[in-house]
Amino acid sequence: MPAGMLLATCDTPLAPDELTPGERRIFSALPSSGPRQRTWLTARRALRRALAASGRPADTSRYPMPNRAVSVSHTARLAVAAVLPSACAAVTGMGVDIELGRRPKPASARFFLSGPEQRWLAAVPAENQPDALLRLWTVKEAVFKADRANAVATLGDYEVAAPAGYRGHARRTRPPGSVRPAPGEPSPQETQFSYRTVALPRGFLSVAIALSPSWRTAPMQTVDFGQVAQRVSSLISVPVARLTPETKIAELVPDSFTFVEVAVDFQEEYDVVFDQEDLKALHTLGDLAALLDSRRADRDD
Amino acid sequence: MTLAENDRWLLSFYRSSEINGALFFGRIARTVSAGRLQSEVTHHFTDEANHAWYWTECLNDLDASPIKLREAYQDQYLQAIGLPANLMEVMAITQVFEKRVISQYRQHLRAPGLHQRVRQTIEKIMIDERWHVQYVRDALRDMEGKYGADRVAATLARFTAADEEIYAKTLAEYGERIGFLDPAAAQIAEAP
Repeated sequence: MPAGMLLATCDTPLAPDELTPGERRIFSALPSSGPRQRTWLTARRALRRALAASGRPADTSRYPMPNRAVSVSHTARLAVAAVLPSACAAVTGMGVDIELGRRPKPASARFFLSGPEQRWLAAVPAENQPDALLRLWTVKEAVFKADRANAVATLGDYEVAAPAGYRGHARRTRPPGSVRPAPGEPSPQETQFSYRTVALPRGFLSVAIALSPSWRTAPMQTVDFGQVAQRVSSLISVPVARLTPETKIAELVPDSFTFVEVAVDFQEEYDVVFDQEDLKALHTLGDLAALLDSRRADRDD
Repeated sequence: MTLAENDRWLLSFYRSSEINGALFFGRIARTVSAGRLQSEVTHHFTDEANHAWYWTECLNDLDASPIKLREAYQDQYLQAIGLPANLMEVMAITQVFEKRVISQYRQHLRAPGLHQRVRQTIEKIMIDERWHVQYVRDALRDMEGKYGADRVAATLARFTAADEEIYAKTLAEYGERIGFLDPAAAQIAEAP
């Protein structure tokens, strides 16, 4: 994530007479019945706050969505805006999503999670699945918004590298053949994303950016699953060929002492720190790689 | 001399706990990065293994074979507070456990009619245990920069509270085997 991203929240709508002519045109096209106008006005106030803090022009109508540097999201009462303060060649799109107090139906997972993501979710203890599903929903929404070529995409067209991670990478897996990128824009199949999620008292907030291909040639150092598999193999004498990101840790380690040994060994090797909540969320080797990646990125920030 | 069955059980329990300690510290010694702590943890691992040997020899000298026990005091920590998540938590749980061991051995030294061979073994082990508490305390202090002093203190407080509960539970479960731990019995033993 670029260092300087600004987030602003707001729970009070703008007064309609405060709108600029451009904003008024958008506002007048909204349905007057229902909550749509109020939530839009609240989101615009949040966006104005973030724009003001960033030094960018405050007229929100100048930022069509999806946008390279700006995104908004709202719940029934709260809006959040994310703004990239200055142009950054590495970033081609910005997305933010907040969900509070809602829970996607478990049956909906197949519509927005990929096969590997669904398999990961199935391995999560049942009591933790609603939170995991909601978290991934916000990630997918944020990634979708960050994809400026998302016109015919669905959330299921994106896949996160390690579903357990509160921070990580995602990619678009099913490029729609009917979409041709504008000159100079990356084609959808090249688009990759970086995201970060924050747990809130009753939900989650995720922010995503789309990365330009040139940025991806020099990414920040990430933890490679192959390295993790090699190390696990040497620690517990399991052939590395048997280890995949979906391999369940509980099926690998014979006892809790071994689990502690593996956890401490990785923390020492990568100079990161896990806590008990981290260990509870570790189900697969993919989770472990994602956690190491996330913690190392936090350390380097 | 014939060792009373309860005494045989207790010394075997000590032996089993020392073996588990050695097995645990052997694993930790493999994972700690090179440096002073690696050396100290490796030393600790050898101490625990030696202590298990001391108790084995002590039992043998008293014409009593060690009972093959699977359980050990440390097992209850894992059940009560979960797995230590990082090296700081490993050292914190060690600090709390080592203090408990010293306290237990001290009480045992005050037991009336304690056999000289048992006393000799405890006193030998206590020399090492004091060093364990000292080096672990220093290690935790060094870790405050990485983990945060508040977090280290909170972890120690949490583990200490858990240890008190575990010890009370252990007394309730095995109290009749360990008569000298009964406060009333201890008072009588210490009376002039």
